[in-house]
Amino acid sequence: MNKLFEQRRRRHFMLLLKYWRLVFNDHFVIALFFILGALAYSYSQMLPQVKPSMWWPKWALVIFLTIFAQLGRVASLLKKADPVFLLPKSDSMSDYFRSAYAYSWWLAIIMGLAGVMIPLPLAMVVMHLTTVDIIAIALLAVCLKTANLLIYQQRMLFLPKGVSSWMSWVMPALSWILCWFINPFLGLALGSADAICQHLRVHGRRINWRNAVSLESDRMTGLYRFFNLFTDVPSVQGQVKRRSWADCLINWLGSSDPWAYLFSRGLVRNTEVSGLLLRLTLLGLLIAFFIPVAWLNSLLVMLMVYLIFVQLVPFYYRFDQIAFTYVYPIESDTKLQAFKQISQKLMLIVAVLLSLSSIGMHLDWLLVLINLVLTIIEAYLLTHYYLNYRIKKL
Amino acid sequence: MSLEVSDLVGGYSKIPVLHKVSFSVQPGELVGLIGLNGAGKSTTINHLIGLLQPFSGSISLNGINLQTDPAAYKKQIAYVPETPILYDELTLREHLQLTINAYGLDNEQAWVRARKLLKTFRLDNKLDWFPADFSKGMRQKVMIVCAFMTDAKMLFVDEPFYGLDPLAVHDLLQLIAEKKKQGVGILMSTHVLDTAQRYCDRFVLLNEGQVKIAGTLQELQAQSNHPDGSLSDIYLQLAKGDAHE
Repeated sequence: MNKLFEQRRRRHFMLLLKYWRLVFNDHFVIALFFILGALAYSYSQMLPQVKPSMWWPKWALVIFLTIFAQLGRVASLLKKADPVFLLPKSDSMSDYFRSAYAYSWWLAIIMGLAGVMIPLPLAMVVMHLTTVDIIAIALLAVCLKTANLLIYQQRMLFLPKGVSSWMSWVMPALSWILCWFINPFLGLALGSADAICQHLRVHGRRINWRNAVSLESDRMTGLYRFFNLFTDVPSVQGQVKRRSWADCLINWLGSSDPWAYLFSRGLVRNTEVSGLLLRLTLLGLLIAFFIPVAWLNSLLVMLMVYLIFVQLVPFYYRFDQIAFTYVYPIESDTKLQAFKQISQKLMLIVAVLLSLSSIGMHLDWLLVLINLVLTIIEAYLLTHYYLNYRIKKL
Repeated sequence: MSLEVSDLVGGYSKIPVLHKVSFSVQPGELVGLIGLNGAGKSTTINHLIGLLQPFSGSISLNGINLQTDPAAYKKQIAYVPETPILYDELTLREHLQLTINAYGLDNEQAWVRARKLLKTFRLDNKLDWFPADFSKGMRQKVMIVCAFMTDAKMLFVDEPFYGLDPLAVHDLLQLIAEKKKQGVGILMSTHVLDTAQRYCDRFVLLNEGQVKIAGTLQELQAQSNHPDGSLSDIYLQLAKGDAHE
């Protein structure tokens, strides 16, 4: 059973490698690096202004680290057919799961330690930390990650009392509050108790095949969705929701032209595309609101407009698999026209929203005006020139 | 004036599947395209609706050539695919509206025709549903409604009886008869030989991408030395003969 996991892990690794190669080939990544760089820059600009007497830095540490403790899941690499083919092996699956857990644990620990490094400069400004304190903090991060992975694993098992999902939020929050407000060692004590307690709950339980398989398939979908940001992943299709409340938006986007009719409905109702655009727009709104340096703010807002547009372009091909697209008596150039019009309208909404959000906490109307002009010009250039280029290239 | 297919050579990749296929469909005529799995029926239809590019040969309808004026050609045709093909994101009502928009039909008249068809196929209370979630038979009915509500001069119907309940098969045959009366030509591919024998005016028998014989039942009987053989006798003899060669 160990061998089976080993084999799957290798295949999974090759799959990831294949997608990562595509990810690093895209302009999208360059843009993301810019955003990360800008965030790091704003962070370093902000640090000297923080005083130990302020009320919020410690709470910010608690919130950030509690959220960070949620990242990372157990990659069981189970397949849909496993409950059928491995059913006779159910009892020896514990070996398999031990390997799976160990693999995910190492990844999660590396990530967890990196996560502690990010807010450490802020912590050093607010309070005095010795080397021993820092080691205790790192160990606490390890314990909380361990406990949370175990809680995740509980969802794949038959448990008499149900899964304690809420513990994955409450315990890290409490531990980090103890750690920052009282003493890092007190936090470490609670965190390690949590890890031991979760380990005892998992020990010797039987596997719940149905949950385990659906959990793994959700995890893979999440992974594919991430890769789908950069490249086309065949298995990401998205579901369709009626969203009748958005009918007026659909009518505004698409007229009676057959292609516009299709694109407008597809964009609004397909959860994959609409969700992606919405998530990126929200991210953009946050960035626009919180970055105070004016030139950097404008640069990032323009970058976000570009990123959102790049994610919109592949939708041009959404209906190409459907024969009627070719059978209907429609002139072939109307497709590009329709897509151009709709993406123009959508990008206009995005541009206005992002620009308004850049008003920030200081009510900087001039910046809003500048961003509005810049992004509208950018949206025009993207939908009129860049679109043609992208579509020819793809 | 009719559908004329002459010396059509075509296929999906570089290898031809169809070899010099020629036949015609007159207005008001129902022609059955008969053949085994893989004989080239769907490939022929895919060429006739413009989904595939012919390697050589020509396809024209009422004097309009598919290659030289595709939009005018396509305005005259409608298609019912073998497997229902639907837009995931559109409701039933929107599928019909899209068809109306694409063919540039008169909105009110088209909806009158559509409502009648929906009632026939018992879909009239499902206008706001997503047909992508329907059963195979119901999705097939959606395809039929979309094709039959147009004013196309020529209908291509690929294996229409699969998954339809007996009542729907009956209704479909009646719709076909009505269309014929209006002077619409229909090309229907099928395996269901006894239904084809009863309803089709003429037959085109395909085997391995070639037209083996074509004509009315009497003509087929005469050509195959089966004076009172059924369509299925004639076809089986032809297909088996080829398989044994």
